[in-house]
Amino acid sequence: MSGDADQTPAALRIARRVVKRAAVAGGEVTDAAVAAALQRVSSRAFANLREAMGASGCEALLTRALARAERAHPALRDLYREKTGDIQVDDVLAIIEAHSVDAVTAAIEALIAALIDILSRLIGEDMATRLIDQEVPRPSLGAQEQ
Amino acid sequence: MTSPARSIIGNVATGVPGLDTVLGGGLCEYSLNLIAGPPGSGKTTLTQQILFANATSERPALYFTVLGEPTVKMLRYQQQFSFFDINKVPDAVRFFNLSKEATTEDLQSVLERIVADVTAAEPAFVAIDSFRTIRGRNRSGEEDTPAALSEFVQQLALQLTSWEVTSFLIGEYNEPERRHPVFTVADSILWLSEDVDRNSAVRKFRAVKVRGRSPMPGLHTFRLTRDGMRVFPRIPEQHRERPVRTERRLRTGVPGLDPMLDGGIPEGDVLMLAGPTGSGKTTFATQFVAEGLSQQEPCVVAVFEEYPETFLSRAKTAPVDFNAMIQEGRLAVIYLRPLDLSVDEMLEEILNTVKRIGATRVVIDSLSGFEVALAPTFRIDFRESLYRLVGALTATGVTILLTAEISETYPGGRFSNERVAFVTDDIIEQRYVEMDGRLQKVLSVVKMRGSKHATDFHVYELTSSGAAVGERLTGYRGITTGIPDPTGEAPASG
Repeated sequence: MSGDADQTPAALRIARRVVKRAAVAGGEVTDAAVAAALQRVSSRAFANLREAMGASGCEALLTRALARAERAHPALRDLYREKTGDIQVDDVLAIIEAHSVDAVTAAIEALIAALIDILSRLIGEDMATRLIDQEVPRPSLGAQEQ
Repeated sequence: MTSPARSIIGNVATGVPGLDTVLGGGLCEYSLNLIAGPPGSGKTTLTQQILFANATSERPALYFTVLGEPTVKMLRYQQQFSFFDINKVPDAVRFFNLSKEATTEDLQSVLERIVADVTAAEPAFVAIDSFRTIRGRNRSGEEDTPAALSEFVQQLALQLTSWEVTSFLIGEYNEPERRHPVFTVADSILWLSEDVDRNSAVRKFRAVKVRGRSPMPGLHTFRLTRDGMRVFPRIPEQHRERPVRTERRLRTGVPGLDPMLDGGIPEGDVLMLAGPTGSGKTTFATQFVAEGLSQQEPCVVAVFEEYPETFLSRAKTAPVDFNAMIQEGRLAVIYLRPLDLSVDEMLEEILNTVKRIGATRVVIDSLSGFEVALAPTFRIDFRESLYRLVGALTATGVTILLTAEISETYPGGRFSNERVAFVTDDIIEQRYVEMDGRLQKVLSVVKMRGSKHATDFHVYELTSSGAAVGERLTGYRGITTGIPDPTGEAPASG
């Protein structure tokens, strides 16, 4: 995808791996199942970031990542809710119906790749990936992951 | 009747070189530790160094950042330290940000958030950075009262201890703020500071209190390098008794000098070789080293006034190949020229090298260079610094040769006022005298503690093959004035 030139191949590769893992874990391949998987993976990434960086730190990174990824993936404008600071499964499903599964999947991959890219330049790719892709118990953020 | 068994407090080794010595062994397990000091003093680095040294995926550490340095920046900079093992993130070391809770919620909510995360992760270590910025707001949005803060600190300490957590509260506190409740509750208070004097800045560490341990009192210097923090414990506490003197004499390697010393320098002695500029002090010292090496005695040379390469280049005329000796691990030349060293830092470097190569001879060239290399704050107490340095070195049993530059214009009896003579066992003085219209080099043995020695002046020469002491200087009086008069008697041969 031409717009993904904004992200480095390494970041895109990591993002695709993260998204693919969530999709495979979901098992089903219906639109609803893919929407749930995409919502889960993005929520987890945002929650991880919010936990480590704080709400405002996460917001600052997301704003910049969105600005970069939106150019090639306009669907992201509708996906990300500024009010809740998260992506909701209902929205993902609606956008999938309006666009396609592939387009929305690519959009979320691009957003995560942009986050990894930005963070990589600040704290290194290894640390960025570890922060975004960590799977750890999170009681205080449990509600967001439901 | 058996006495009741006391609880044994487990130890947490900090992983910070030198720090456990100062703390009296390490930190107590499950203790609440306050790490305090001004901005930039190394509080975060110290804490993370301890956490990365101890945390594992089975015994993880939670690092809560509050207000202050943004997490992303902290991670960016802390990653530069060698102790920061990225592989430990997030399984062994996890980072949390509490800035939202700390700014918008009451203290109870902050406590609940910490307790919830501790409950979920069951960590062995928790750090809160910066603890000082936690103030909390009540339901009306007003800042919480000091009483609420006290209650929060008490509850936090109780919760963390109940969860068997060793915790670290980091804060930018200053002396007047010691009334903050955390100072009462904390089991240990580790204070970091910085002394700035002219162009020099020296970092200092103090264990204000360490419950359950007997920490070393006083201020201890530390350095922050790429490897993190390194503490240099003050010397007196490491001081051991000086070994009993033996009858053995060490040959100096300078032809004609040993007979003046009744056979050589007594083993374990501190000999000061004092003389004006250009009198050959370093040449004598080089020959002392060469003699040691030829006797299979490893040597350490601490150079302050020149680069090791220069010293080694000048030593090429010696009968022993110094570079080959370095390769073989029998000679070490330490370069100690920076102008902000503490005496403890210097000593550690020299002691470690002595230990590493098993040295029996040490040369410090020169005392004036040593003084200049010290940070100004230590130069003020130069006598004390030198005393501590020499005391710790002699306790290892090595024989020390110190070179010292003295003013040629100073009249006789100059050592009674010298600031350094008190630490020496033996003193050899070199001087210039004017004889027959030319400068002649002469030397004398001023003192040898507990040993007989020559009391007359001898001429000596510096040639391309080194220094050699010649005959006894007789037939003159007023040699110490620098311009001796012939007595009219025929000179006696040495």
